[in-house]
Amino acid sequence: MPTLRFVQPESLSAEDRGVLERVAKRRGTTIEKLSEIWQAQAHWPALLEANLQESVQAFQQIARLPMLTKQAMHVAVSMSNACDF
Amino acid sequence: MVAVLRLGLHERGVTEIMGIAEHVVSLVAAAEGLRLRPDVPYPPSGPRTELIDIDTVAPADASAVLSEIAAWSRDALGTSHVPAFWRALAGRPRLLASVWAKHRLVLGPGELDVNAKICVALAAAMNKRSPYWTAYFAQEGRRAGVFDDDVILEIAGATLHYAAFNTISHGMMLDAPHTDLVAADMQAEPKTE
Repeated sequence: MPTLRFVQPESLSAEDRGVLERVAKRRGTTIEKLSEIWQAQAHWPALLEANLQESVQAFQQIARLPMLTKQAMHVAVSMSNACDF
Repeated sequence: MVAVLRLGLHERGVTEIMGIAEHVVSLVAAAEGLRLRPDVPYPPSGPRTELIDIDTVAPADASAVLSEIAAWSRDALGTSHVPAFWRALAGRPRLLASVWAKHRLVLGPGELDVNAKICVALAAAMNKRSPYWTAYFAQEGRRAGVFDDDVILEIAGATLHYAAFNTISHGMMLDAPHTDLVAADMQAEPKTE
């Protein structure tokens, strides 16, 4: 179980909820089904937004390498960081 | 891990990724532990930092493996010397032979192709902050025509992103969203968030 309870979307201001909705849309899902890795950042929507932009620029939009290679790197780095998620 | 399964990798391929990750972590621990200066593609200059003498003539038992590494290094790294890491291990010939055999196995052809594997190896070395192995794998990838500056930057960008998100998931103690995965099941499923 996460150490910190996730934010309830209805408790967010319209502006902050908008950030969450943008992230969900970018990920092709809804706020309710958004992965925990994104939900865990939603208590600070500005960080969530910054990480979305970083994710897009660092991982998704630079595309010389095949997606399988990038995802394989993701698995290897996560394993070497002992990341359960 | 779900993503690589959805992209067509099977259990063997995921185990190959794990093999690269654990192998690179072990290489980094030894190289940085021995304080080896990067020597690929060029021998280092400046004050010696190595904890042990790596220039003494290796035991005769190590000569066959060192000759094999020398030939491989000329071709794959473009070096005229055996990299310091392998010379350092040569004091224990059976250790050298076992680590070299594993190295060739882990980075050799498999379900994951060798070009992807060198990218994974460089990302793992970057993540573990190894001057020695980042220089080594970067040169190997350049010689193989896999890397140029732009691709190396792409790998650094991806590593940056993974390191950040690993910290988030670890720091917030997020549960693994999937366990007991079976590749065939994942490849049959439509993608969802």
